[in-house]
Amino acid sequence: MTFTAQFVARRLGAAVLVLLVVISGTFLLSHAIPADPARAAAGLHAGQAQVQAVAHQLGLDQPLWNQYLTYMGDVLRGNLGISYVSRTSIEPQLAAALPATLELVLCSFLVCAIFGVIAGMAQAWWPRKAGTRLLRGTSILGTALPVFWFAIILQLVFAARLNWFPIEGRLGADTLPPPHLTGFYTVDALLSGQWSAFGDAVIHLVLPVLSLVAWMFALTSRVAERSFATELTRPYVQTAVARGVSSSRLLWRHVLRNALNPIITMLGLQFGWLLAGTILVEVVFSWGGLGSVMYTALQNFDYPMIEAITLVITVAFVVVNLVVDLLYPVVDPRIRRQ
Amino acid sequence: MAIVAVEAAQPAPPGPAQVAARRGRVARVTRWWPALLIGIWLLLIVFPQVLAHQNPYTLNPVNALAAPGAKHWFGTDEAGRDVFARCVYGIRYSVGISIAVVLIAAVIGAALGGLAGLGSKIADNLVMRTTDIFLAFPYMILAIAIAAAEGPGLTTVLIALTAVWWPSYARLVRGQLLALREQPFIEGARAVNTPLHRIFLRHMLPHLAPQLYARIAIDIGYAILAMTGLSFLGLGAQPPTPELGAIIADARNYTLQAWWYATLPGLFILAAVVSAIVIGNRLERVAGGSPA
Repeated sequence: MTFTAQFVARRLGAAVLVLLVVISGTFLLSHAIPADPARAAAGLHAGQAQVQAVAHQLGLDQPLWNQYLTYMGDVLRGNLGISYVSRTSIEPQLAAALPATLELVLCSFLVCAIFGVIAGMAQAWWPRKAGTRLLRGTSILGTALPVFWFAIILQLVFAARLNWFPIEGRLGADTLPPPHLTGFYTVDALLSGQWSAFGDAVIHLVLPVLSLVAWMFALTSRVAERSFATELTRPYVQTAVARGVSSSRLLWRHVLRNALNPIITMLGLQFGWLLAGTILVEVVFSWGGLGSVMYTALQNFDYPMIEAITLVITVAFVVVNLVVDLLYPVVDPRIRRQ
Repeated sequence: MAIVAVEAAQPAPPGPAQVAARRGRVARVTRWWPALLIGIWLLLIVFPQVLAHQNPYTLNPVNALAAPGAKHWFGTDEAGRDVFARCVYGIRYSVGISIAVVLIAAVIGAALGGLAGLGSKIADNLVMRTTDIFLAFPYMILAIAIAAAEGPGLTTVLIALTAVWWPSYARLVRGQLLALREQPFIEGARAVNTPLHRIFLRHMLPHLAPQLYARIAIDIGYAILAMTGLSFLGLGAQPPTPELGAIIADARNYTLQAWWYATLPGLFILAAVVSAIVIGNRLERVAGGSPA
């Protein structure tokens, strides 16, 4: 077996194991830790008999071991259970909410990754310029911002006061959602050629994306800066400078690829943090994605829903980190040759 | 001759010794302000009444949602309570619990990391695979899930955040111990049959301490963000407890009528987190051995 195949097989195996453990973890959180899940399912005003009936109906009166096996089997078949509140399957509700969240998270992620790496590069290239210090200072201030509070500030200033951006939601009241293809309003609108809907969707994205980016930007730029700064001290950089390579070519063609590894690792972790952090932002902007569904579930002690969302977000996190692991040998030939 | 006279008349340029002395003086001043910051926050946690002269629980519906003024610096909330007093008393919960979370997590993490780094291979594997499981989740979502399973409350938040915070300390301590273990002074201690726990507590931990302090300080900042976030989602402090995240959550229904109610409490969170990061950076620099 070649090294690459071995590498891929090992990482895939590890990811599958982690996923099994994660599913067990969400089982514990939804079935074993809550004091009385049946009570939560039956509602606050249910009588004892009603609670027992609900427990029986949902299989909550079975031994924990049995419940575990049933849960495991269900989840592996893609059945995430039944919401205590709506009493319907969870999957359609999540499938409807997922694109909204992904659209927001992917946009924030791209903005953060692109501008963060460029900012890090600039900071490493001009370490002592006043602009660098200013950028560094403001981005550290960004990490110290409570993301939900900053979202409210943006909403108050740019939506309520200045009226530059809409206050909440994914589309204005007078815009019809574009035909459902991907569930991403921006992409759907483009695909169906509805320019006004596209513009509306983009304008609705600005403030939520800005809140998430402010929170993550400093981390990206700092990791990028450190990585670039380390690379810039290497002999090949001096050689390139001596050969008269222009600074932009040096940074983009020579240094960037070498500096990429730690940046990719960090971006993978960030994706997961964004998926979790988006809950706070979605609540503020009534975004209607996983975060909004999670918030409603939290208010109602809807344990299956809470754990289903936890599971979906964690699976996404594990998959992204797997992709990152598999990217290393692609980006860095040194790893392939080891 | 004339040239010499002109040179003598001009003030001598500061020599390296003088520059160093001036830097030393500046450093002596700046060395103390992190301690001052810590002192201020601890004072506010223990004696909030020093800064807040009103009762954070006193209802006054007649004066609901009053704008900030001389009497109510941050205005009043929907029940006429003084928002500034609620914020200052809220520091006790938001910052106090975050400090507790990180300290408990650091102790648990250091103990388990010590076990992993110095104990048997089995213990090492057990601890490390457990941290793997915890780190497989995005920390915020895990904290939310744990807190939701336990039911809302301040104790819940404390447990949930401690549960997601200890693994990083276990890893940090274990990694450092593995490196330290090869040092001659540890080998010497072993050679004279010093018990393992004594080696850990007396010989190794003091080496890790400066780094741990820096990490703890910065983490307290991030714990404050996580803590107020959980409270904002309704998982933490329950009404009428004044907790900064919960205050902002309550204020969300009134953002358009009363801008001060949701915005001003956030300044306290921001100030607390910035203080923690600044103190942490300072400790990091001290631990790194570079000049202050």
